[in-house]
Amino acid sequence: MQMKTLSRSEEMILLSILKLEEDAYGVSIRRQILQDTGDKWSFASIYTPLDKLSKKGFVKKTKGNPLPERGGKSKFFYRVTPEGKKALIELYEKHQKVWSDISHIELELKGGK
Amino acid sequence: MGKNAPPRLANLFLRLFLGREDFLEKSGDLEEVYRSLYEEYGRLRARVWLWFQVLTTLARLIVNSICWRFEMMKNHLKLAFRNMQRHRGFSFINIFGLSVGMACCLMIFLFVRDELDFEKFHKNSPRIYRTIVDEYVDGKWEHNVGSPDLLGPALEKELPEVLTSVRLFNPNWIDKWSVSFEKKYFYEDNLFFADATIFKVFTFHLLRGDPETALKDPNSIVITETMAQKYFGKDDPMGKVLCIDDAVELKITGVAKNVPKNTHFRFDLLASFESMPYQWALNNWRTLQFYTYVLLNKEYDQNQLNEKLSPFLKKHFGQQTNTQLHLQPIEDIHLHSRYYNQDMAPNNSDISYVYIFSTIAIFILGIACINFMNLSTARSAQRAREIGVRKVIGAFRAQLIKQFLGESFLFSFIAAIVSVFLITVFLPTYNTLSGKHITFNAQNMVFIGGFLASVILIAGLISGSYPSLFFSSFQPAKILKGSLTVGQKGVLFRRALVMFQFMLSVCLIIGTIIVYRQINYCLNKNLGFDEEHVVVIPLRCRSVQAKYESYRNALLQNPSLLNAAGSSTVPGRSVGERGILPEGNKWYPRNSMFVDFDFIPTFGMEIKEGRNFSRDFPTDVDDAYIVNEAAVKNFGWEDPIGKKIIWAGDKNKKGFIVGVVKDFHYKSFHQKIEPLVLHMTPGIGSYASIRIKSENILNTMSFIKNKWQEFNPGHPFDYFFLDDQYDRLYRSEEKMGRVFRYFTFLALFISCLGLFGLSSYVLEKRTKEIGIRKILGASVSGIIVMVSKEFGKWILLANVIAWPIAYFSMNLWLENFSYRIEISIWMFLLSTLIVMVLSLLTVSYQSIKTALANPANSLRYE
Repeated sequence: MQMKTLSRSEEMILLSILKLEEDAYGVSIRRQILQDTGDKWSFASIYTPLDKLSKKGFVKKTKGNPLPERGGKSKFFYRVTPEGKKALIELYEKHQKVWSDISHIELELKGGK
Repeated sequence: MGKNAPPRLANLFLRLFLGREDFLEKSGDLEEVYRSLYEEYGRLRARVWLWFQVLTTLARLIVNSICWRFEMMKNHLKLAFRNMQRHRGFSFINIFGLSVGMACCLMIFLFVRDELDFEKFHKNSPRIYRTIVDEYVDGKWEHNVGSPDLLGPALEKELPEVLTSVRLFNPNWIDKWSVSFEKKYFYEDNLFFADATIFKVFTFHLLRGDPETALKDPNSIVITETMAQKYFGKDDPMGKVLCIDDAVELKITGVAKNVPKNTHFRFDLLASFESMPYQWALNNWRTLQFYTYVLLNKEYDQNQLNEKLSPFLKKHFGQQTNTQLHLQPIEDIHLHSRYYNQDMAPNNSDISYVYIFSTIAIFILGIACINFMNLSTARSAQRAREIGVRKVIGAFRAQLIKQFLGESFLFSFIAAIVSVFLITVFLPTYNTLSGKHITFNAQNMVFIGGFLASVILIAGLISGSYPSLFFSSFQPAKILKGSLTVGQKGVLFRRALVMFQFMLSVCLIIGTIIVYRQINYCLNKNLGFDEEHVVVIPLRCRSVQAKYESYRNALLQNPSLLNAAGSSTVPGRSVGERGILPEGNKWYPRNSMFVDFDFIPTFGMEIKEGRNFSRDFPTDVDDAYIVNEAAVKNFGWEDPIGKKIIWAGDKNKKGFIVGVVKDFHYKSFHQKIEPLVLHMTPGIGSYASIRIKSENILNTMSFIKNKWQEFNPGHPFDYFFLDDQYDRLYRSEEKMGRVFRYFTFLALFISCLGLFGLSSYVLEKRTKEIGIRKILGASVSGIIVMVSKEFGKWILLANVIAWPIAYFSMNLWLENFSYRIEISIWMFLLSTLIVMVLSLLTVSYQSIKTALANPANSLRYE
């Protein structure tokens, strides 16, 4: 299942959507990432992974109500699908496995200093 | 929206590239942040941010989507490029042929576009009309562009549809006006006397002065920027006084922007109508010397208006008139004025050229596409195995079609790029050739872009469709077994295509030969007088005309100058029309010239009956007329000598015929020799024609020039040779002939490329066969003859089909001429010969190569 792997930016975005629960859309996702990592992402670097995620079926897009502060345009909310969650879990487990193997090296590095 | 809404352009940008839903999402997100940034940091910063986001977002999304598709196409693309590399010769012929075809086609369409664009820059152009006075004479309708001066104001007064009218005066019997500023003289071609309403009807922009009042006062004049530069350099032209003909003084009241090139009416100077020096033409309904244009109101009804024109004209011309009036849309003038007399626009073209050139363009593009298709089909056997494997692995037919279509799109895309390069290189040459001023302006760029895109699409589709459908229908089992033979149908089809393009080439060659012969015929036929060694000096100013007699006498002192004559016009230049009433006939504007005693002897025309004007008869001055044979016939005179004639003018002048001159060509060969009346009036000639000896022309010319400067200081010395003037009558045909010739070469070149490709394919397939033939004892020459025969057969057939087509279409073209050549068989034979030789040469390269090859090698082949 090669297609199910996630890139770093996709992972970041999926996690942000999960955290935001009901209120995940372009602007809020970007804000969330800024909050969590301190990095300012351009919209371009949010939309491209979002696009790929929808194509893979990991997120689902729904249209909200039109709002005046958006010039009468709707928000488009994203929800993580069960497949998306599965992929996240897989990824998390993989990470854990990898990290557990090298934790002592990291400790050494920290301690050696 | 509110003031803190994001710039509309940015949204437009997004909308352009995104689907509806994507657009709503992205622009909504961006707008939300934009508004908060706007509140916080102000407009500038918000905008910079927004634009940055819009552009990066778009770039990423577009690149992303292409990447995805590219991934899928990568394999096909790779194969296409590999194929291109493996068959460099074929690919080169393919792409180069197509790009030459595209470039030609594009250039022709740029030309056509330019032709169709005439007059469109006038804001009211759909509502501007020119009046045409149609007269029924001798059983046919004549259409006059010129109209009487009273027509315009009368139309304006009596027909509610006519908002305003404008009259222009620059008769074609005045070739140039003498214009001076402080005794510095210039000759001006495009000087028009015009009503003040001109700026209401037409759209000309004034840089200085007020269009409302610029030409209101008599003795005012508006000049263009170029003229301002020419006369005054950097000085302010406003208020300066120009002098026309040393007689009329005009104050400059406006400077106009230069008139665009795509109009029939191009002025350099516009003088107020009231200052027009030829008062005799005014206040009557008979002299058709003015161009009248009307601006109709927005609600006008074409049919209603047409019904009103006939009663209107009857009211002014009398109930029994043989005259009708109609209105010609201004947008039609450039291309639909062929049948109109007295046109003021020398650069008028004709719609038939547009059709001819468009047809050629489509032909050339067609030929190029056919070649492409042909070559691709020819390679089918080599690609057959690839297709077989693909099919076995599980390619759908649709996928194969897509692959081959994609390949042909790739090729046509590369060809389009090459063709853009070709156009850039050849555009200047093309402009001088066609006399156009086509540039890469924004409009043309859009056109070129659109055109190329559609050609890529069409050429790709047409040229790719046959091979793609053909390839994909192969049965994989057969292909892989190697038993696939390209069916007889395919061979037949390919040959038919090559035949078709040679047929087109033959048509073009025959056309070129006939155009060339006809132009030659026009230039070399006996005109009815001796047009060689005649120097003509236009006398463009009254003070110069007044000195003509003494200038002439001074000139004739020199034995190199044989004779000199003054006349109102010379053969080959446009002839004025005058209302004339011949005895026993009707009033009608007829071709007429003012001449003097020496006119007929100087030009060497022959007197058929009666005598020439003579100084021995004092009554000849003002009373004597000479007519040509056509006039005698037209007026219905049995015995012309002594017949009376009345000449319209401020007071009608009576006179009588003293002689008949043999018909001579004073107009181009497009027109039959029309009735002509020569009127004896010495001293008002606007041309001095001098017959000189054929030896020592340089010395003679410098003598004439020195004398001119002696007599007319300050006036430029301008002259032409009469035979050059005649050559100029066929300039548009010559231009057409030249363009025709180039395209014939190109078409032939492309056809030969096609034949080359086909022959090399066919011979490659027959390598083995030829090897066996050689082993069995066939000679090299025998093999070459065999191969040539096979191709020759088809090309001969192409010729036979081309002949009738060429015959009929060129006959149609020749009907434009009243005096024309007959189409004869040698033209057809010659073009056939040219094509046969060329095509056999093309084939021979490959056939000799194959025939000379060592059979041992060729039998090992495959």
